Amino acid sequence: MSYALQYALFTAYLSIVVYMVVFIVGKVITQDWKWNRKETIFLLIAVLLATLSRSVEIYLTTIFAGAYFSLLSSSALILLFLLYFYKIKYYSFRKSFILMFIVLLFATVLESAVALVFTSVFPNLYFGLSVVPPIHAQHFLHYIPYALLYSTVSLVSTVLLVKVTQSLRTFINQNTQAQTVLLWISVISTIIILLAANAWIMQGDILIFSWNTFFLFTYVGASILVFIFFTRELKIKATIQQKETEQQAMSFYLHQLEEHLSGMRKFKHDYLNILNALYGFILAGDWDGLANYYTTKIEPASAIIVTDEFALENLSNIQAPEIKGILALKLMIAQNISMDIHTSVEAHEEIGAIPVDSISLVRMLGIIMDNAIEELETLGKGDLVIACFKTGNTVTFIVQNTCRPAISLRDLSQTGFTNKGEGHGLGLSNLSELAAAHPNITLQTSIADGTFTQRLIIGGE
Amino acid sequence: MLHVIICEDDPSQRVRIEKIVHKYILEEDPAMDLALSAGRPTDVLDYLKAHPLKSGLYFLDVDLQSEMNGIELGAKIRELDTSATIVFITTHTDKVPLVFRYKVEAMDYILKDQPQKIEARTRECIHLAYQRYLNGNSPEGKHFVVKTGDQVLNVPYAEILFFETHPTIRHKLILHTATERIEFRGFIKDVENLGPEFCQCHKSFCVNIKKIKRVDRTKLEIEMSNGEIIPISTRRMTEFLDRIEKSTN
Repeated sequence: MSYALQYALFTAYLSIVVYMVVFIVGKVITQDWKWNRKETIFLLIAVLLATLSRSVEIYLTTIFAGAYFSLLSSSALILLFLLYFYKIKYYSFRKSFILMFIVLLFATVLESAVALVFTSVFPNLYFGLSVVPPIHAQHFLHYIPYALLYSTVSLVSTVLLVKVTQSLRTFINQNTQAQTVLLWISVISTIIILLAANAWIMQGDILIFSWNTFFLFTYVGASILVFIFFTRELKIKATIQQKETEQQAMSFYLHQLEEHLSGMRKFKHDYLNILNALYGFILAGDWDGLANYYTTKIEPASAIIVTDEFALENLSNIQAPEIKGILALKLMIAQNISMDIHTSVEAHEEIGAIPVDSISLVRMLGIIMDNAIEELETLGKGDLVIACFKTGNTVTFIVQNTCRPAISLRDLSQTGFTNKGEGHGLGLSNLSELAAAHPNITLQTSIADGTFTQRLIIGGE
Repeated sequence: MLHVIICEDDPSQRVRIEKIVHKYILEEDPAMDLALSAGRPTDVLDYLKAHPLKSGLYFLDVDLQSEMNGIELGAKIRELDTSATIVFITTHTDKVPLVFRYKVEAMDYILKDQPQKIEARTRECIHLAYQRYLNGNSPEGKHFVVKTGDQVLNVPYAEILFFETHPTIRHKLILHTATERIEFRGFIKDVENLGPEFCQCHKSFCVNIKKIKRVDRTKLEIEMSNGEIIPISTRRMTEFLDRIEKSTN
């Protein structure tokens, strides 16, 4: 076996534990203690790739004896972490970059610290990631306590870091300016650290240094470019889709507004008739009749006008136009079914950012409202209440409607249950699937005493 | 000891609730006391800060003539005493707003404008809260907590029929009760060890054995108390029947 290959294999042996720890640090920093299969597979593959890149780097460096490839593994780590946070954890690009930087910086500092302690305690056994050849068999053994110490220290200090910086994190999460500043600090520091490491490895060899810098920029530049194109395309797609949904909701809304206006015209006409009727009673001096007419006809009508108008007005506390649009639209449809359907909206707090993509939310609320409307149509009367409130950064939507007392939850949870003829009823299973696709959403459905309630809880960070 | 706290700005109304509580304590002799009866929400919060309570029973007037209304007070109390039992006293004859019920997770409501019912309703609330307090450490009193961001949802163990893995999305669980279905983030392995009454009967079902009507060994089915049918796997059958036997003994 050639010396370079031997050295590369030994490096792989050294790296695998270290990288595993580094990726677990990355996982712990997201404060998500649960594991799922996709994530586990990604992390295992990432560890293997990082180890591979490190070994290839060592192999090439030994063969070419010029450290031309000395930063291959660092760029691989950067890319793998970006992918991890962006694609697996669904963080924004900005947050992924910041987290990537923090994790790598933290892990590197810890690794150096442990290596330093180890070297000073056992001066004749040096063990960092960068073991200098020649390699002896005893290296393999000595590495084990080192790896153990390193993993324990890393995990404990990461958990501590997460706990200690809790309030700082919430601040950064809520403050986009702080995020931008942090992002730039991370980007600039990453470049400076990579360059400094590069310069240190070359120790003044200008020719190799400049070549290496060239390689470095090519790796990192190419990775970041690919990444930016990738995210931009996704973003454009999402924006287009969102615009379409907004437009759809808006045109629905306008259409409904028109209907509402013609309804108003009709109402004006009716109103005049009512006034004429009043005049009729007055002319005849039929005061009892007038009183009776007032309590039976006018009072209930005005109550409806007040509550329904009020319902739409309350929606103004919800800031996202597409959400407001879909709720207003469905409310108006419900109001138009019959005079015996009473609607109200409880949204007393201002609802700004909702931590879910609005396309899914519009679809989910659409399904929930359609179910309510369908049931109210069957009944011909009843109540429909929408409530929306915040608990910290978590937003809750509740839609409650009167329903037939005979329906049980069991009927509804069966896929394809139809409330009303063919073609309906797929809504609930679609809703369940839509909600399930978002880890931060809890969906509660309940039926009791002729009241059907759906609650959508959207958890913020 | 179950501590009762009243916050009501109208003195006559306050005295009335106080009397009902005292009467209940006298008649039933429960481990309960009236810890505080105040007119202003700040008094309640100051008291709670000085004497931290666990699982107290709170009667709160919704329309406090103060800088804070009853709902806001309820939310603040929840922060200080997370397992608080909150009962609102309100004049709203029309439907009690949904936000009350769901944001503060209040247990019940007493309507002021039905004077003839106030006593009975208040006693009902005290009784229920006391039962819950007594069961606090027994399995019946335990709650399953679903946390979504900052919002918490509590379901008493005694109401849970079974848990099921979401049919299409693996990282979601569905909790079933007789009247509710809650879909939240979780895995079946997280719920199999909740308590002796929960037992996994299938790779994606975990059932409350106290809620089983019968087990059909040939069809490999379990019928729940509400008539719902869930599957059981052959592999788990023996162990499952053992568990049922143990729990009935």
